[in-house]
Amino acid sequence: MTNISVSVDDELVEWLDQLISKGFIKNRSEAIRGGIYSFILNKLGFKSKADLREYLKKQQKKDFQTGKQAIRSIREEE
Amino acid sequence: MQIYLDTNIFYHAYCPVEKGSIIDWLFEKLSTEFQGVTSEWAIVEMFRALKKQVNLGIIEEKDANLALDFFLVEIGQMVQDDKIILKPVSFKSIMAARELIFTYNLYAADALHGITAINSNVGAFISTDSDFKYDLGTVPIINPLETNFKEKIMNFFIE
Repeated sequence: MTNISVSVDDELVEWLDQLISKGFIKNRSEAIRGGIYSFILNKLGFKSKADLREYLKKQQKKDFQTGKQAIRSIREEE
Repeated sequence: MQIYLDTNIFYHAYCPVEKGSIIDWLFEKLSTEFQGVTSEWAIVEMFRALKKQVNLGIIEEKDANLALDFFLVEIGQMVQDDKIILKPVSFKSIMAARELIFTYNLYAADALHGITAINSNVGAFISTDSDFKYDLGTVPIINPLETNFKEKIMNFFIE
C-alpha cells in the first residue's frame, strides 16, 4: 500500500465525512479509491463494455479471435 | 452464492466477439449476494490475449491498452464493490493443481483456474470454452454461448 498526501477543500472533506457518518460511504479511503477509479474511467471515455466493444469493432483490421481461440491458444503456449 | 468466471468471460466482455450482450447481462447480475470469483492469473491472461490480437494485426497496440485500462478499472471497481473476488495464485493452489494436471493432462493455467474454482466452493464454472470438460467435482461447467444460459443462471436465484 502507498500513502498519498493530497490537499482537499475543507468543505469537500466535511461533506464526505457527513456521508460517512450516515453510512453512505465506509470511510475516506474507500471514497478516494473509488474516486481514482471513476477519474480514470471518465478519462478513458467509454460509457460501458458495449461502448468499448463498438469502438474496437470500428478499429479492428480483421475479426478478433473468439474467446475460446484467444484464451485456449495462450494457455497452450506453455 | 458465487460463480467462477473463466478468463474467456472477461475477453468476451471487453472484446468485440459474439454474444457480448449476454456477458453484459451476467455482469449486471453480480452483487454482494451473487459474486463472481476469478484468479488473479486471469488478469495476466487478458494482457497476453490482447497482445496476441496486436501480434495478429487485428488492432493497434494503443487500442489494446485502452481496452485493458478499461478492463482494469472496471475490475477494480467490482472488487471494491464486493461483486468480484480476485483469488491470489497461492502456493497451496499451485500444489493442488498437480493432481488435476496428472489426472486430466491439463495445461497449467486450466488446472490453476479449476483448482481455484473448486477451493472457492463456487456454484458453477462459467466458460465459453466448449473444450473445457473436466471433472470439477460438484461444480458444473456452464457455457454462456449455449442455449438456456440465462435460465441456468436464474436457477441460482431460486435455490
